[in-house]
Amino acid sequence: MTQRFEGATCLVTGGGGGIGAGTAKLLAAEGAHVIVADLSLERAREVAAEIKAMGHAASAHSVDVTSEASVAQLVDESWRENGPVTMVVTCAGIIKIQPFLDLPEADWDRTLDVNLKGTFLVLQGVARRLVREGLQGRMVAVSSVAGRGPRADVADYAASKAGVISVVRSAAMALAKYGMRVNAVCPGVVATEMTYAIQRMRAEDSGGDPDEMLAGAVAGIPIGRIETPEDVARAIAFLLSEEAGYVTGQALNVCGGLEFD
Amino acid sequence: MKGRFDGATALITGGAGGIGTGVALRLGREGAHVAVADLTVSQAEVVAARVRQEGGRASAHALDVTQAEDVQRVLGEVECLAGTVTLAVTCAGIDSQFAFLDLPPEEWQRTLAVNLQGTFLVMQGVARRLKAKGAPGHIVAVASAAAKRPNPTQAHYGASKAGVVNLVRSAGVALARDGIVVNAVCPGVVDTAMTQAIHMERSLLTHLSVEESLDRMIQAIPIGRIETVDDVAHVVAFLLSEEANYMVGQAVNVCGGLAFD
Repeated sequence: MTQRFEGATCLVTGGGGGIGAGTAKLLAAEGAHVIVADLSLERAREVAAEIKAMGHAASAHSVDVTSEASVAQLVDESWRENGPVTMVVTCAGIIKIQPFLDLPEADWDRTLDVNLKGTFLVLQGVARRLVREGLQGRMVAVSSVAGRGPRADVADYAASKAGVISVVRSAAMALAKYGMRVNAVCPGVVATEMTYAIQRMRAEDSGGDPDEMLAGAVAGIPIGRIETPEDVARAIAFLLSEEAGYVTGQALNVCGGLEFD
Repeated sequence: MKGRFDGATALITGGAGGIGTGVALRLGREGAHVAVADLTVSQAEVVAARVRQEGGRASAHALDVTQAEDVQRVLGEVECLAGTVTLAVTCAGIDSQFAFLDLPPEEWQRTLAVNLQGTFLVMQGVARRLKAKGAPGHIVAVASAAAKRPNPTQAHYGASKAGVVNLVRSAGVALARDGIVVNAVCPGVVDTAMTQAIHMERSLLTHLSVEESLDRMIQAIPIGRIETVDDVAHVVAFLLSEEANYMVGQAVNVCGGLAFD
């Protein structure tokens, strides 16, 4: 299974985060040059350095996915330094626990900006350049099981991730004629800093113990163990590979049986 | 990719059909012993011979998936010959075209018996043997994009495949903690004899020529080409591999963008 992506350049946004870093490492190990892009250049650099230390190829960039200009600059720099970006994985995302009745407008806007508009801008930015150059590409957006069901204390996050599924379908339909495939993954409870932060926030609100709350959440997963970033990364790599050549516009639930439709 | 299934024993029901043949050849190339099971053993033997011709290992078995004893007999035969079945792909399926108002109850019953009950019996039989041995395994059911769309001229087929999607969810969750991974694929318009036959029958209902009927269908596929059995086999192989171990009870649309949820 090694070297499936030899010679390809892959952009990973949110590459400094848990799923992003896991994906960047897996794709690099399979031969891709990975552009690790993150709002925090420092985190992007750390991940790129880890990849290079393993003997693989990576570079670090900062990007604000909510800004079209910032995304355009990232696309330009990536092309200039590493040639055409034919694979994209959008992992940049934020979450904040808040009761529905207290959710402030500004937080709603911020979450939708980063998670949904940010995904759109990156997909569109790379696709524009690929179409202009007559090249084909494969893209995977990280949605969430929260995009499939109700979430009382993260209504903004759930809406943004449902939106990601929709934008992926639309992009897939729009770009099919250019030979581009666009898909999503919907992870469940992944062992990342974001998940631990969620448990801490929920524990604070309810006065519970964060570790106990996480254990409770994991007990509710049919497969009976927490998801690892590698579980997600493997499904992403599959969707980026030739093996998924007839799969487009789909959102794959990679969640140990938490969600279906 | 060679050797992903080295030493494994795979059972493929409907193994002489279009998708079944593609899956059998694929798994044979990747190292599995392939037990090709079909209603007509002579046709199963043709596929088994092709697997052996390519240097793989294969056996042919007569199997009526609607008969529980028959399923048990074949599972016993295969186990004696090549060890416990750890990979199962249920491809056995039938289809016919009827205007809704003319659909005979016998046709409904026969289709549900083969497509849905047959899938259940094989899945349960394979899982029981795995569980008794404490062995992990992977099962993939071939459902259809028809499971997720209205089917005015094949309501029985659509219902049977929708049943398969739900069965896979139940089995997936029931077996997740035993390390038995159960998922489905939902192919679209696949280049097989069954698809030709569908359009032959449909042309009688719609008064279009067979070619016109099929061409119209293909033009509606966003990805712009008919699906090959290899398109399906690639995704089946992924779901049978360790790479998909965190996917539980999912039905992956492999249909070039015809269906989504």
